[in-house]
Amino acid sequence: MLRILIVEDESFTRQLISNTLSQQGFEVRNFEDASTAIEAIESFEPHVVISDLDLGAFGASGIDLLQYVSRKFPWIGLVALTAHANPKLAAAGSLPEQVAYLVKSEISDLGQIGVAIRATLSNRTDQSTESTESTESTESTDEDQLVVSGLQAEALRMLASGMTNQAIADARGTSLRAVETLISRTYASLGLEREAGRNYRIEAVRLWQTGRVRVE
Amino acid sequence: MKSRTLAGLRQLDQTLAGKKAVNPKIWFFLLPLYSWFNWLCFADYFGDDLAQTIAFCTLLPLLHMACWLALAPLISRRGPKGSTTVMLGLATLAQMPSEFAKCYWLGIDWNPQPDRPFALQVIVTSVVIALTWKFMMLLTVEWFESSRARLGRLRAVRNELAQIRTQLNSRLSTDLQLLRAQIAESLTPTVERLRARLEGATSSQNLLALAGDIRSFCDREVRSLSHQISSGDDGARTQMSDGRQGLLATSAAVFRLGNSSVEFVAAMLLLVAAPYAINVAGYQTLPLVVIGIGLGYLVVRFVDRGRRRLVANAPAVVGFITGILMLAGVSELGLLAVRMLEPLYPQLVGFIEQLWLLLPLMLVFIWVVAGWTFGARELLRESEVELAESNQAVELENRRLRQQAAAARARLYRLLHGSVQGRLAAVSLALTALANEETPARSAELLEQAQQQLAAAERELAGAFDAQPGVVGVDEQWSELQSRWRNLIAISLTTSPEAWQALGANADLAREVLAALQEGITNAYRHARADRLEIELGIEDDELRLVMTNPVDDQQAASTEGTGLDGIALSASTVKFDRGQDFATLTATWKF
Repeated sequence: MLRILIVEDESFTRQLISNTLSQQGFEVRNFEDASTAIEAIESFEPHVVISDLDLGAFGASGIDLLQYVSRKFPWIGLVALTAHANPKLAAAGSLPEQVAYLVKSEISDLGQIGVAIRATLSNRTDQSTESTESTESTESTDEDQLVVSGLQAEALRMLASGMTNQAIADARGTSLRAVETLISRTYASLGLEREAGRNYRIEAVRLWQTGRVRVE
Repeated sequence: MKSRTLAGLRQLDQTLAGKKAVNPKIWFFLLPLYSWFNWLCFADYFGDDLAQTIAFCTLLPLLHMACWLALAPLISRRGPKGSTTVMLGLATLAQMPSEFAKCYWLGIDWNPQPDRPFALQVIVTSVVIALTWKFMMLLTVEWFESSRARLGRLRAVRNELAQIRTQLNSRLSTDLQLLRAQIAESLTPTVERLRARLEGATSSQNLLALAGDIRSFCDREVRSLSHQISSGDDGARTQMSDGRQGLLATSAAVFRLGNSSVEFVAAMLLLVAAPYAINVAGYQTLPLVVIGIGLGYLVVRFVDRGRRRLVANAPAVVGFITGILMLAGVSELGLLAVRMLEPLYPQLVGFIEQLWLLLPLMLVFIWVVAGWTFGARELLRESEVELAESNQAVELENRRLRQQAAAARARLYRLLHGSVQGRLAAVSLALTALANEETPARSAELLEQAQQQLAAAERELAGAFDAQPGVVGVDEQWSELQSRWRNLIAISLTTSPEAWQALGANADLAREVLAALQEGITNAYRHARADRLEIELGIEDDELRLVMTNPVDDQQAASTEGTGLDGIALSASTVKFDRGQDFATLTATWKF
């Protein structure tokens, strides 16, 4: 089950998104401010962090939180919630490219949040605000789409960020052998069978970065 | 001492640069003055022929003036450097025709004569007297004119201050009224209508349509209004006139400060009286003039010390009159003493008789001119200081009003963009969820929450222009700020008790400093990627001083990238950003 961490200072919105994602089968934890959310990241190990960019006049904003997460936990997917019409402008270039943006007042379907989560995990942030229907139709017609689990997606994100197996093991707090097993299974899910002379690491990352991978 | 004199001469030379070295206004004073001196020195040559005496005393100074005006372009073209030297040289040249005319008219012999003035002697002494007065008058007119202009500018600055206050207050009030009208006539009724529609909505289709309308309302009206608020310009500019202070008002101010030095008066007297005496009674008078002026200077210096002490707190006019009385009194007593010794120099009796009226008159005249010159210079200095202070006051007032306007806009922007728009977006989301919700209990809960959100948005809009609640204690605010940055950046604060107390006593200052702290921390974390920040808050020279220092990785971008510094600059008196190799320091000060 994918773990989602929500940071939103407005309680009603926070609760609403939290309930919606829970109903969609995500494991959710929500927080009011950036500092408290950071404390929970190491123990909760979220796959995706969804944060409002504006978390009140005082303290760290959503931009600071997402920047922090992208720096310390580069494998975690990031979704920015905002009331700005031009969200990338609101972030003033402070956020990494892979952040998916959701404009609050433009969400006509709560399914869009789930789509944005899957998009950020698949590094397809440009499609994050498309409607559920259109994404589903894209997925159903795309027979080449490869499916991986949330854990495998996390491994792929770490590989894409240039981490070695040892670094992934250190980051996840597991053994090197466990990481090697996870990566082997990920290669298998992607249909990469072992053959001499092929670099699966590069091929797996290329598949991930070209949006050929879907997370379930 | 020598370098000080040279520096003083250089300063004078710069004062009389270009056109200032040939200011024609000096002739208002010089024409009567030169006529008077011609009368004093040469009236005896015409005996009882009054018409010729008057013609002589007026025509020669006029010729002198005409020659000067003809040569003036040559001097003014010299520019700022060396104007005074050139002026003195050309002024001598310009005087020559009238001097030659004088010798010719009076029939003065060109060969040296032991018992009466000869041509070269007359010319040299006349040039010395004329140059002394010209130089003095040029300084007086220049300083006086500069003082008038400065005082006029000062008055304009003070007027501008009042205008800025009125304009900004009026603009602020108009802007807020317009926003109030837009909120009251457009936003609030729409939110009310949306709430009414929500109460009547029963089907999923209705709820989804309502959600769509709310989204559209957020996108168009609320966003447009918040954009209007955030992009508003609070600046007010006034047209400042460069008028001059009135002639009489400036004169009054000059005499208020005019208290010329005794040394200056003695030197001037020597420069004018010695040539005059030589002209009238030959070189034999020179020792008598020098000794007389020297002794007179010593006595006046002694008396003047007591006089200044006596009139120190009296009105300026008292000081001025007592100065004149002192000079007149001392000169008369001196002449009395000289007369008692007349048997020692019987050939000078005629000359001494002339001095009974002439000496006090000349002294008073020098005293007045010197008073003008010194007073004008003092006034110039004083008005420059006042002008700088007034300019600073205008800046401070302007900044304070802009800051107030910016704070009001920021509050409204946050209310509309953050709170109201956020609530409306949440209602839209809730209605979308509600349309797909199948559990009655959950549906009822969502509906009730959506209604509560709309009611809260209505209340917020209605209270947008209410008085703001007071600031929560500084300690609480600082704790909250620090807590909300924990885990991202380590912040250490060192503060003096006086500085913290000052924040506690002044709510506006506390708000500004806390906002600056928030901006400084954001800057350090977001742009310099600092993991720690040291903050020092203290009071220095009647200023609250905030210093924020963070380590900088040289690979990272400079921490001036953000717009936060502009925000701090709007409220603080000064903002300075220094970037060293390993650290960056942001220093902001607030005047009490």
